[in-house]
Amino acid sequence: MRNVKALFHVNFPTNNWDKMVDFYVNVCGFDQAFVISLADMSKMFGKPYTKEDENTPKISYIRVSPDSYIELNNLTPEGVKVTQSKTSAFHHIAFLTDDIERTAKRFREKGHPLFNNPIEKKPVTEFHKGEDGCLIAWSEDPDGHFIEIMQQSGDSMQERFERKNPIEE
Amino acid sequence: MREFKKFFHLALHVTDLDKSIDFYKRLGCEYMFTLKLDDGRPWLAYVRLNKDQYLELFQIYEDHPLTPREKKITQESDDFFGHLSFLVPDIYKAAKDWAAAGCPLVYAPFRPEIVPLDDISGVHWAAGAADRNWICWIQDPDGNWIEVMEEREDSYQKVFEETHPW
Repeated sequence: MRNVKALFHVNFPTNNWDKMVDFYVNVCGFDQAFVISLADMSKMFGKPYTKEDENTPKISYIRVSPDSYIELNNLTPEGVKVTQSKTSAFHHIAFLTDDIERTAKRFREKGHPLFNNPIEKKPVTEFHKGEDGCLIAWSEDPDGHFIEIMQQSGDSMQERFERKNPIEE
Repeated sequence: MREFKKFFHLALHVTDLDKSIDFYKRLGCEYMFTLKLDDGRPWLAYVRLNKDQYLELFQIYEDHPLTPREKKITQESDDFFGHLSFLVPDIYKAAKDWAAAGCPLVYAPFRPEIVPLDDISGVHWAAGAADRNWICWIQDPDGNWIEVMEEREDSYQKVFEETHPW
């Protein structure tokens, strides 16, 4: 039996709650699975909480694919400030699409045109294969996390690996 | 129709690619392939977490424009990136296997005292989280925290998946 079944979630602390939820739910089209309130968190740690805490979101789980979520952690109620570290080991997340042209159209219509790479950030209209054989374009969420949008070509390195090494359940 | 099919990969910058590959292999993940720079040095490696789901590990070099050049890697609790999480079918089995492989789980990060989980007979360590899962933690060679989770029957995620089939 495999110990690791899936990338279960990636956690982003944020001071930008509404915009981040809007980006992942409205722009990307993911489902918000559930929200844990500040009061729920206080209950868990046996701390006191107010009526207002019951209506204050603290954690949101947003489903990207089965068993894989973005977990947003709302820092505002506790007054913790996010500092964007240049030395973080994290670089980006990637979502798999089956039609990069359609995804590009959607993002453009929602006001988030895709760009060529995180350094130049030039708008893209044509999509080229990356080193691994996938078509690639980029986006950025409201907190500045880079998002790679990928479409497999049928002969990408990842697909060749999957064909040779099927996962046993 | 859904816009996206899958959470495809997560990219991390690493200080020692071999060490990182070795770490994820100890956790039971498969190393897939390494892409090279034009000068032949390793650029990035793929490790499989699930079907169509990977980690992308980028080696840090100071002298190549295509690679990350951060001098110092820190992971602080107020960093803009929080952590990543792996789903496991059996958290006790993972704790046992990974301790034997030299990667012991710990109770929790961001706490003054980090308690290694030597005694996996107790249940106290895999505390139920707010979303009703069993959780504990592990740290990769660059200090990234990985939350290890086993879903309980009544976990929020499980209930959501059951009521909202893909």
